[in-house]
Amino acid sequence: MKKVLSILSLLLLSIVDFATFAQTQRFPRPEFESGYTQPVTSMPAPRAGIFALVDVLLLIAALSLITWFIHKKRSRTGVVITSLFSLVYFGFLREGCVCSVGSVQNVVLALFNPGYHIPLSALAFFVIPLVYTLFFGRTFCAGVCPLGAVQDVFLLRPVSLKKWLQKVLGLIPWIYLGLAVLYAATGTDFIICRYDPFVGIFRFNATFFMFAIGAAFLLISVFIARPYCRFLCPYGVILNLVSRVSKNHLSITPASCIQCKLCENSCPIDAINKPVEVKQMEDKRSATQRFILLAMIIPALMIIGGWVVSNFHENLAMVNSKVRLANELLHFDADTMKESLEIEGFRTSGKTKEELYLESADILKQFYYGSWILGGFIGLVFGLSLAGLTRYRYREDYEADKGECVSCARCLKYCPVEKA
Amino acid sequence: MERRDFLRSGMRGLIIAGLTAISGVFVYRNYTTEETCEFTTPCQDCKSLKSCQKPEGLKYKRDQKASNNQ
Repeated sequence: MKKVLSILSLLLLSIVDFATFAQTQRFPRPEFESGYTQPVTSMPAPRAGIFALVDVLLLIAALSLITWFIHKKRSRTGVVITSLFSLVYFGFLREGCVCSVGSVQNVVLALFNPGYHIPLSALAFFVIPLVYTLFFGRTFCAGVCPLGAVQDVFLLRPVSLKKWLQKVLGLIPWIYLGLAVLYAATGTDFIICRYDPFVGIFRFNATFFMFAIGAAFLLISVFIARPYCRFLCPYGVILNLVSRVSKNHLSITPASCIQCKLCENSCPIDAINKPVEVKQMEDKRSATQRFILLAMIIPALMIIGGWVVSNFHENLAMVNSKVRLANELLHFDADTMKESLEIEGFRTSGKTKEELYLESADILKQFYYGSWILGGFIGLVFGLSLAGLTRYRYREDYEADKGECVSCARCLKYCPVEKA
Repeated sequence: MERRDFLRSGMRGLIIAGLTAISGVFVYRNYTTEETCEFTTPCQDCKSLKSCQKPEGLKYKRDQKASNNQ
């Protein structure tokens, strides 16, 4: 009863906060058509800076709290409460921006473009979850990320997917990450933000198409746990890698595992590794041979991948507005075609066609090299995934998969072993 | 220390060092250089831009107003 009351009061508080926030946003500063420019205030606008700082402080607080709930209290309820808070604050109040998932692109743009000043809040949102993951596993995914939290709320009847299907779908986030890096590095677009299925829902302003995709993801979330996190999230890929070397990770059993098998099917994302039986240990030699063979195929896959993707570099570059405009201008015939808004805007900008074509050629060249790297990266991921299928690891107990486990703490309540 | 643990702690150290170095460079660059990047797509296409009070949104609107006045 006490727990229910605390959850209800948190929800009520969040709704009141939401109403207050909505009121403050109702009256934006008027913009005059007459050319009048508003005087610069003698005091700097404090809200924006404070908001950014509050966001970062709340991120740290939420991460610390959820880590404490998972590692010390071993409480699923605590995780749920933090999830609800994150969903309301980072999701609906802050409208899903800045988010750690999108901040990957800010970091990439800053790496490749020295003229870009990355907002410090975006940098903090990228770095802080990684540091926590490095020490405590993916506690950020557990309930601080609003995208994960919204899917977790909808999970009612988890269905287990076939292993091969999970492996195949699990390759998509790598490709998505590669594309996001390519587009951010060339200064083309932030595709993770543009195609975020939940941001439109958080902002109540999604286009019908994006709303349909968001709704589809939520509907799938009812049966398949966290489809976006597992099969699309590019930041999850980075967290997955970092979590593998984490210092402390959620352990299903607080003391010694008694092999009761109660937790075996408790994980909705199948992130529990079962003990490896003795008869499987006998296959170690052939598994090693297969691993070496596959490891030799990896360079070939990288070259093939690079060649294939580089053949599509012009198509990939068409997302860039300058390349698109140059292409449009190249095929524009003033006698037979009507001038588009983009061409009209370009004509009035005073820039010459030659300048635009040169810039476009430069961008195309970047895409050519970038697509070779992207293809090589995809080939590497495919090769390593194949090689990983034959990886042998002796295991005595039921353990959480350090990379895949999002530390949702569902499995903890299945363990009958008390803390020693 | 086991071989696996040794490798893991080495990786952790490398990641921490990498993150610190990158963050340091970015922060230093923010305070010592002039911003020249014209990448504005996220704000440009945002439907909530008019009422946006986020630092990036405010900055974008300020820059747009300044370039319109020139």
